[in-house]
Amino acid sequence: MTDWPSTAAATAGLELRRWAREPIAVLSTLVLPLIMAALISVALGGDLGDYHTTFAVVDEDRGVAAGQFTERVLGDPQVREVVRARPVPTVDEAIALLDEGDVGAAVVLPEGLTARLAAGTAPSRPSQAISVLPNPDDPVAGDLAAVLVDQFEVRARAVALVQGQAGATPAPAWPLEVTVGSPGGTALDAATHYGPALGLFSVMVTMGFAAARLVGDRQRGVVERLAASPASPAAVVMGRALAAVALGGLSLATLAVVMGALFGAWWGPALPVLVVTVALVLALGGVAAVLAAVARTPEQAQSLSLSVAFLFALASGSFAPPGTALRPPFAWVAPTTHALDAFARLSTEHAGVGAVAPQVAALCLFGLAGLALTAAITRRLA
Amino acid sequence: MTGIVDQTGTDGGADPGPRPESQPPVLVCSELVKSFGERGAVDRLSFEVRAGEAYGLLGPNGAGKTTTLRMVCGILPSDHGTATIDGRAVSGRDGARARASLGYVPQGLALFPTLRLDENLRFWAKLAGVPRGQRRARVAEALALVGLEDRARDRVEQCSGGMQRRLNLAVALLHRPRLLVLDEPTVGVDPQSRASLLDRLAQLRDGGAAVLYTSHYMDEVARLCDRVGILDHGRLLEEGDPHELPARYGCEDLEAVFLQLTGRELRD
Repeated sequence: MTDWPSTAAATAGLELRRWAREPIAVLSTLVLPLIMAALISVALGGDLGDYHTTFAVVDEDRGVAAGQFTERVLGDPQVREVVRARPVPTVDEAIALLDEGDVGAAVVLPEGLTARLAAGTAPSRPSQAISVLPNPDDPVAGDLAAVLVDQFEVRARAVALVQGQAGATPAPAWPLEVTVGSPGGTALDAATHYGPALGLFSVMVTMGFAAARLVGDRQRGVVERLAASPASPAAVVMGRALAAVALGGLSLATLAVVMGALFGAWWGPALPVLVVTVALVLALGGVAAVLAAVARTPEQAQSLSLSVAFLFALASGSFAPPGTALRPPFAWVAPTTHALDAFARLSTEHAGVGAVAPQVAALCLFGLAGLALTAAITRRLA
Repeated sequence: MTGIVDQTGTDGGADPGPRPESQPPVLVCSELVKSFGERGAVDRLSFEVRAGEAYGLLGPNGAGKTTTLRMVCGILPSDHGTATIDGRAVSGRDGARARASLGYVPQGLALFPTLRLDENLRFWAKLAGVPRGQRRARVAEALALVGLEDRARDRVEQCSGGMQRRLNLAVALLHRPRLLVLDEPTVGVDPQSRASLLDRLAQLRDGGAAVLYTSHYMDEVARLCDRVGILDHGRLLEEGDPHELPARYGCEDLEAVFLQLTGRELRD
């Protein structure tokens, strides 16, 4: 007769050893997410702390608006850490600077801008709009300029409309503010976003390998042999689950440490991050268990897991730039959506476990639902 | 040979010991019934296997052999009837105790290919409840018994099919079981490995183990087994000494008896 903890420990140890003997599994769990996260962070401006650019500003308006844009928007302390404004007299000169690569983007403030914004009206012709001329070699600068211009335009018109309704003459100094970070917290930078986002993907791939091992075991008769042994089936399942949690945690922990060291990413306070990680691994473990139950071969289990990992990543916005709301309406069906939301809150708001309780509960529900579904499928197939 | 089957109280040495018919039954299957939906797989099947006896369960594909073995091992619950090992039911509250006396060799290679031979055996020894202090010796003993002592540090995936079959058997011997259940253990094995496996099983049987064996190879069943049961459509059609059955049916050999009882039509 075997005791329960010893069986669970032996099974967990065996699973970890099997993982360590599969170079592709080790690469997928530890190395691949690091490479992906680093590439995406760098490509999309992950390390904004080291990124600097210059905007050429062409003021054809000669009014108050241009001064507001330069002082209030480009002069914002957070923006100033990244962007330097360079006044340029003509558009031709700005284009020449772009061609030579001396500036990352050019912003052209058209004639009549002050009057139009004071009236709170949208541009009726393209020539009335603030235009951004991008430098193809520096797409981040172009994107950043476009975002800042949009914010300025919308806020300036909104202020003018409100003041107009209040009967006041549009004031020359609009109370413009450009908020880059979250109120009361810090900004969710790319490195902090892509760390967990790619970590989720990597955990799912890790679970896929575990599912493939399980399917292989079933094919070879290992599961039958386990059932014929005096060991408790629950202890064996617990052992496998422990190994999965350990590997998923290892994957996320490696990402957190390396992304923190290289890119200054901070995932949040340790305890809530640990709680979310465990809940996430449970949820993805439940999903992987379902895939293992329906797959007929280890290869099927692996390809299914990879497909699901991509779907979850797309649905939850793992590949999208931080702060963008590009999620489809059914994003909630992906457990990674809830995990990503929780990690975002933890890193930007320095929140405790209570703040992410809804996400943790959702992840646990995913895990339980997955296990229940697996049990039902297994019974049906038996 | 080492005394690996010591749950019998014998050491498995050269002396074959008392004849099986004088030994108490280790496995008793009584009125076993199993259906999958509308399809009956096993129908009121009863047989016994005694200590020091090898019992061959023969039948065409789909006859119910594997289902029977699964019920005997507690993998599959029976719809009706019982299977007991040394008086303990294999499923239910006493199931784990009963299964502690059982060594099961499934048809597949129930091993972990990326792990070494000794790592595989150590894991299964833990699960079988072999005490920590005895595990190293038991692993070495099991490897020696199947002639793999020099390959302990090799990975399973580096071994030939025959070696993997022998290791598959070694796993079932680690805890010195009273009853060995083998489901077609020689499928896809070369004649040398097959002969070696049968020799080992004969030694274990002579050492006092009860052996329940299924195979499609009539010659190996006749060579190893003291009794055979011929099964078809879940029912036991005949039971007896494999050397006496041909004479009883006026047939040349056991295969002819098998075909006479189960017919010549192809099975899925």
